[in-house]
Amino acid sequence: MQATTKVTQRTATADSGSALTILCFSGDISSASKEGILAAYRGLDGSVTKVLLDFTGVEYINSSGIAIFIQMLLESSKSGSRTIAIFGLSPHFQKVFTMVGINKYAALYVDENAAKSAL
Amino acid sequence: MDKWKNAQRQSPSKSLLTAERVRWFVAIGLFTLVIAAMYTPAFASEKAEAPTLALNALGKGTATLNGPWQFHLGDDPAWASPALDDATGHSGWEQLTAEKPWGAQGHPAYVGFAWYRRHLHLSPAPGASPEFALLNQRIEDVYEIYWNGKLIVRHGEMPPNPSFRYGEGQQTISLGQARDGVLAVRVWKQPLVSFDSGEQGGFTAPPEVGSPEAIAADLATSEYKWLHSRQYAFGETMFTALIALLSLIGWLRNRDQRVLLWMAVFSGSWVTSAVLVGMRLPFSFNFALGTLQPVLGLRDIALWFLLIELLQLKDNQRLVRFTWALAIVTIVSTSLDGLLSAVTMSYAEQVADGVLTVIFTVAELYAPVLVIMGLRCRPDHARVMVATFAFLSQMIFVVRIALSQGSRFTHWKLADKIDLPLFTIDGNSFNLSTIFRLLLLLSVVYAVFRHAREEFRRQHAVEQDLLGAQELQRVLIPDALPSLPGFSLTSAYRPAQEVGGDFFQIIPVDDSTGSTLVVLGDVSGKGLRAAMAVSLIVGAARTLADFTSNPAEILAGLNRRLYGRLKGGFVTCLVLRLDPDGTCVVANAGHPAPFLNHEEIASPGMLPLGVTAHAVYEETRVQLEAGDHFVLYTDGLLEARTPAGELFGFERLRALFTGHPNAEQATEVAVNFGQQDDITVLTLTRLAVGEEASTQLTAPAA
Repeated sequence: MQATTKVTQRTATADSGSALTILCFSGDISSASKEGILAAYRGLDGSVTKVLLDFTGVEYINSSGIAIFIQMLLESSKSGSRTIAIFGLSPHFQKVFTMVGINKYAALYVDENAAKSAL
Repeated sequence: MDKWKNAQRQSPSKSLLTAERVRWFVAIGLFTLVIAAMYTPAFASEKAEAPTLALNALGKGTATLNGPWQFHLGDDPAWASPALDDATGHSGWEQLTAEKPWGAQGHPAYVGFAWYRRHLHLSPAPGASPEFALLNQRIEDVYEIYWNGKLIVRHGEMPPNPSFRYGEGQQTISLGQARDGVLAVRVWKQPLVSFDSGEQGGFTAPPEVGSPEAIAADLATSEYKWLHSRQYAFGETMFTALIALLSLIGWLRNRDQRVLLWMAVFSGSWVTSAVLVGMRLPFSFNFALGTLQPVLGLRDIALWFLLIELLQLKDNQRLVRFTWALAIVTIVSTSLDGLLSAVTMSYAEQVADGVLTVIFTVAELYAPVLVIMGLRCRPDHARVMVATFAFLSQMIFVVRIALSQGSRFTHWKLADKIDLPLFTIDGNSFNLSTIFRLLLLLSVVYAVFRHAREEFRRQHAVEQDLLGAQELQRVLIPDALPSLPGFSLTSAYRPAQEVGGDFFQIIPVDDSTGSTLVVLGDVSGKGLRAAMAVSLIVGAARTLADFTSNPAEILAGLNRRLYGRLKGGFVTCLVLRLDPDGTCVVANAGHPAPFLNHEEIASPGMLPLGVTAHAVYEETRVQLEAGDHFVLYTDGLLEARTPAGELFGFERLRALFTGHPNAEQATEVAVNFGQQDDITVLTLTRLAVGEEASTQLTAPAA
């Protein structure tokens, strides 16, 4: 089951009023998804400071898929200007993301509302 | 409208002269005898002394009815009558020869009805058969032959609903014991198509008359000559059909090799057109020509896509889309044009035929465009050859047809010149078209052979690579476990593919403490690249173990070694030190936490190895008592997945480990659930004092 990930983009506003750009993923995430996902992230406008990653539609991420997000987080932490947060992960993958320490670089939220109220 | 004609027609002037000369002499001989019989009284043999030898050979000749025929445009049943006055000049009768069509004798582009009449006096040679037969060559297009007012044969169907066969149209007709009379021929010519020169209509060559045996022999000779001259063409058609079949089979087995599909369509359409018009099969003219149009359209389309594949123009999306659009235009216009021919040609339909023909003739100029674009990228020579000859053979055909379009208006004869044979081998003529097609077939065979050889070599190289990787694997995953005093140890390793990214090492600490280091981890990815990363890690770990037995320091050292070398990948890793008294110190870099009995050993989440330049790892201390069951595993266990998509998950893991399985049992459960990635499990059971240490290793199936 290696369907390429579908990536869509939308905007929202946090409870605090700041603008949020949300990247929504659906399907499976594996090494085949790398180009699509990184292209979507790098294609974001420079003025975007808060990025939410929506995993609600994601069923499966293998280790290559996780590597994509680690790479993305490193890029954002190097640039220093962007904050990334994540929501919509299934409990399994929430634990996996915590295991690899992603939660230190990107906050993990249960759903979109939780993310909006915190940002 | 395209027509497959000249390649199949023999050029009479170059055929076997000797046989024709013999026929001439015999014909003259018979004719002289006929005249002699007409004007001199028959005389009995006067000398009775010796028997006369009958030279029957003379009776086996035929006479050709050349010379003037009476001719009249239009249609009137009375013109079959032997009593009719058809003197030249009288009520519209004129004289024409049967050697050329009426279109070349003063009635260009005349279509419809016309009549020919010939007065004959036939007399058999002495000793020859009293019966006569007629052999006529092609008469365009539908005809009836009358002898003394009586209809003796019809070839094709007269209007309304006219139809006639495509092809040469030789026919033998029995005249019975004919002696004196009028041979009348009623002809109907179909409206012209776009490439007709206007010089057709009626007789194309004079008929022959002779005894039935002589006529039959002539027909047989003529048909044999035709077959003989087509030997090469039939062979080529069979070979092309074979290529079409093999290409189709090859594509069906390997759908992404589109080049094979296009080669199958391209060769298949050559074969189909040969069957339609090149083999004298009994198809009606309209059916053959009509079906031919879309077949030729398909051939053009197949050539374009073949060129796109061979000349590696596939990545040019706009070009590919444009080609598809042109393909649709071509197939629609050729199919419409073909359908039109099923309907009788009225003037409006002739105009439509002209317009449609212009459309797809212009489209045929696309192939040179593709060739120019493709050759700029310099593909390998086999592909260049196939592309060149496919292109050339198609272009000769196209140029010839294009030049013949509207030839009744332009009077261009160049099309016929292109078709002239360049040389003849054993009666088979070869012109430019045949030569390029032959070269195309040969280059296809060569290209396919080369491709097969390359494929074989590549497969071989891949297999060699794989064997090498498997050798490497044996070094990296231990095939024997050292004995750990105070512990029983089991391990199992199940790779997902031939070579994977999991690794573990058990390294005795080289001092008097009797401690052991266990390193277990997972490189993201699979295949040779992952295995190379593993070899780097294993080497580094063993070296570091010489200097420190501190798990956090070892992880830090591994991280420094790996940073920047993993090309976007990462490595999760666990390092633990086991002391003989049951103390266990664990450091974790992004790896799933180990289980002690039925609980995870909590450790803070850490980034995997190789991601940041300087990482500091924490240590967790655990005390193992007798009977405690300690399990290490890689995420292949967690991420086993059923075909429906359900993950094994942490809950099932907890349930599994509560039952204290050994490594082999644990991996078996995951594999049965649905293996996605390499699975490695290591279990350690603290033994009671006095119990024998044991090890059990389950290696992957060889």
